[in-house]
Amino acid sequence: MVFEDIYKAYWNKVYRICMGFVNNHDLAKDLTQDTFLSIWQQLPKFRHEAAIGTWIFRIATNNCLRQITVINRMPRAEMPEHLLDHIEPDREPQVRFLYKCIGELPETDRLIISLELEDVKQADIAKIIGLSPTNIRVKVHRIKEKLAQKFENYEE
Amino acid sequence: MKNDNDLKTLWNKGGSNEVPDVKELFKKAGNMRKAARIRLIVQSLVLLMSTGIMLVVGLNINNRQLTTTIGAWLMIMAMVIYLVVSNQLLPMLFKSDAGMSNKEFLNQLIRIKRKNEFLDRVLVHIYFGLLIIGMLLYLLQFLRDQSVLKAIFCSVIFICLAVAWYYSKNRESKKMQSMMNQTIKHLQAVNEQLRDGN
Repeated sequence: MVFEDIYKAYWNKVYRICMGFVNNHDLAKDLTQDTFLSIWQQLPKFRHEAAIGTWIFRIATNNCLRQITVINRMPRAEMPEHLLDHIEPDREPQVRFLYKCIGELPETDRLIISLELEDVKQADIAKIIGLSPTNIRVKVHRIKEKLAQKFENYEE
Repeated sequence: MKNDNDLKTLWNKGGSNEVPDVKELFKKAGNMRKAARIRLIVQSLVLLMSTGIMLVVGLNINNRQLTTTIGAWLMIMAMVIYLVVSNQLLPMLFKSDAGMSNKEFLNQLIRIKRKNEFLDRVLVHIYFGLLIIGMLLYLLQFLRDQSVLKAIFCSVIFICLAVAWYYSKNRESKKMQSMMNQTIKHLQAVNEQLRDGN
């Protein structure tokens, strides 16, 4: 697969996963760009041992986790204002609420639910995250329950 | 209550309309590679040149005294220790993360950060300690004839070293240190989320 095709096919999928992790449009865009930089650098080494999608999501989620080191380097109070909770303004309130709820989950739960909503098979999520498929199934179930609960309160 | 399909529909609406041009990405990649390469080359060159100069000058002194030789070797040792320990980080930094699960990647991040923390907290002081003692012994021979010019030259060198050492221990550095510790704690907490059964 040519890099340009991967870029077109996966840009929005990777962006949504990053957005689920940071809930900030500008940061998610930067993270997506960094992810595609890694993909571009590592594509010649890709050996088709996994599906290309799983490979891409693995790079994307690792990149999101690397973000933890950046966040700690710059405390929230010192962040430029445009980086604080900047969400694209034309989003529906429910879409914004979903991303906000996901952004409030523990880090690994954010990644798990983002991959699940991106229609990645649970067996592949298990490989990407490094947990057993049973564990992933349980976690997905619990996270969905939490989200449903939050939406119930939101709609009341 | 939101069912599965509702959530997926909302999730898919969260994409962005502004997909950047791929050329922008290639430009960024080029700049990043260039900057990283230049930084590595400059750092290694400066340390190698300093070692080379000390070896050449040290070996060509007539009536070289024992203190001069010991001083030169201490300074060379400081630079070699620093280069070896800091370069142990390089293979970790360049290792591809494409084949790693999030759990493996987190463990590697924690190892890198711990090593970084050790470099900042301990190694920098070993480096300056050896360098200053080495420099003192190295310059002892030159200061024996009590020339004012040489004394000024040596004082400037020691002031520069002291300022550099102080800078590595000042408040800003302590703040960085505490941020590094926070990062390690945060990474460990995330890693804890991945323990089976959680």
